[in-house]
Amino acid sequence: MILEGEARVPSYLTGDLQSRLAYADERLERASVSPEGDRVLLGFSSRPDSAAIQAVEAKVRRVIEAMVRGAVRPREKVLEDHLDRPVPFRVDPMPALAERGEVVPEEKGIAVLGPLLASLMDFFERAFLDLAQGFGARPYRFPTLISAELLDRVEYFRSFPHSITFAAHLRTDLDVIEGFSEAAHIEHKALHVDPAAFAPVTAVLSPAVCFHYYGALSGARLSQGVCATAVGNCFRFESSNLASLERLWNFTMREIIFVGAKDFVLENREEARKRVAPLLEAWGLAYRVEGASDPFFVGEFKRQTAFQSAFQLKYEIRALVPHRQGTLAVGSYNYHQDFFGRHLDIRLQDGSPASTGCVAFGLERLAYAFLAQYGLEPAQWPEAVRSALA
Amino acid sequence: MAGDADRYREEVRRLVAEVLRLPPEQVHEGLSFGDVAEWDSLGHMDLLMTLEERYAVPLDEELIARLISIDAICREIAERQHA
Repeated sequence: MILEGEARVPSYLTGDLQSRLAYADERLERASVSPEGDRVLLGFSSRPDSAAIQAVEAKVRRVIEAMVRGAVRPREKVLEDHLDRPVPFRVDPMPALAERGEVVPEEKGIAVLGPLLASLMDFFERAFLDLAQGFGARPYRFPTLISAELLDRVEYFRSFPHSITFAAHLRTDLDVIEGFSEAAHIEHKALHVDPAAFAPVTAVLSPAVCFHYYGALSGARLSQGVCATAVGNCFRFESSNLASLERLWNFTMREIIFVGAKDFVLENREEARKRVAPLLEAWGLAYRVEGASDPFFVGEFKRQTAFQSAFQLKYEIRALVPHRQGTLAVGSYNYHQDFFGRHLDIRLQDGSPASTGCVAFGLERLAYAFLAQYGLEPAQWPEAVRSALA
Repeated sequence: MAGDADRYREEVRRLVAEVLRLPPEQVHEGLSFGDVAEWDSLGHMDLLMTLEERYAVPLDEELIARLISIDAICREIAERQHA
C-alpha cells in the first residue's frame, strides 16, 4: 500500500522516520519512504481489511505529523572523516558468519556468537579497557537488571518507551506459580501466560551501562571529577528494525563515564575522541565521527533531537558498511549537560548539579563492521588486529 | 539596543511563565536554561517554538543554542522587531 503524505519527508529524517514506523502497528511489517519523500510504502504481515488499513494509516500519519512537521534541519557536524580509507571487503559477512556457526540466531535480535567474533570483541574490549585506564577510570561491575524507579527518575519511560525490555516474574503466590507451571506452553513462538500472573514490574533490563553509575552517585557531593568504566549487557527492543549484528536486542557496551564540572566532562570527552582515533586507524577502520542524537520516540523526537544537535551533545563513530554503502554507529561520545546531576541529585561542592558524559562502544557492532570491511580471513586483516589474535 | 531589549522584558517574562507553566513571580529577569526544572530540554524547545510562532524567530540550531536566557531572548526579539 502506498500512502501519500501531506508533509514531504526530508532526506535527513528518512532513516529515523522509517525506524519509528516499525512501532506504529503490529500488523505493519515494513514501511519505507520514497526517495522523493512524498510517499510511504507500507507492507502488511497479512492481508488487511479496510478497517485495519484505515487504523494503520491513521497511526502512520500520526507518526509522520509528529516527526516531520516543524522539524529542525540538523547542521552537519563532522569531526573526523576517514570513510575513504581503503578496505578490501565488499560482501555482506552475515551468510559466511552463519555458515561457520559464528552467528547462531536464537530469536530475532538474539544470537549466540562464535569464537572468531568473541575473540575480536575481546580484542577491542582490551583496547578500550586500556583507554579507560589511561583516564584513571575506576572499574565497576553493573547488574544486567536496572531498577524501574531509577529509570523513571531519569525520565527514560517518557523518552524511550518503545525500546524497554521488562523483567517480569510471577507473583509470589502458590496458586499462581502452580497454575503457571501446569499451563505454560509456547503458542505461535510466544510463551502463553495469563498476564495477571505477573508481579508488578520493579526492574527492567538495562538499556545502557552508565545509568547504574549515575544512580550509585545519587546524593553525592563531588569534590573533584570522577571517572569510571564498565562493560555490560544492554537491551533495546527494536521491533522489525532488528537485523543481523547491526541491530541486536541484546548487545554489549563498554563505557567510560565522566562525572564532575562541565569543563572536566567536556575536556575528557574530547580527549577520549583524540585517543580513540589512533586505535581506529591501527585497526584500519573506515569511519567518520559526526553529530547525532539519541533514538527518542515519536512524541519527543522532534524537540529532543533538535536540542541535542544544537548543543552538540552527541557524536557517533559511524563505521563504513561497504556492502550496503552505508554506515553503522559503533561508538559514541556523549555529553548530558547536568541532566543526571539534577535528576539524581549529584552535586559539586558548590551545590550546583554535576555534569556527566560518557564514551560508549558497541562491541558486536564494532566486530561486525570490522568484518564487513575486512572479511573473515585474518590474512586480509590489518597487522595490529591479526597479530593480536594470532 | 539594550534599551530596546528592556521594552520586551515584561512580555518575555510572561511568555516564559506561560510556556513553562511557572508562577510569574518565579520568572525573574536573570532566569536562564537549567535554573528551574521546567526549563529543561523539552521546555526550552517549547519556548523556542512559541517564539517562532509569535515573533517569527526562526527555529534553527544557532538560535536554539544561543537563546538560553530571558536576556538573550529579549535582545533577539528587539533586534528582529527593529531590523
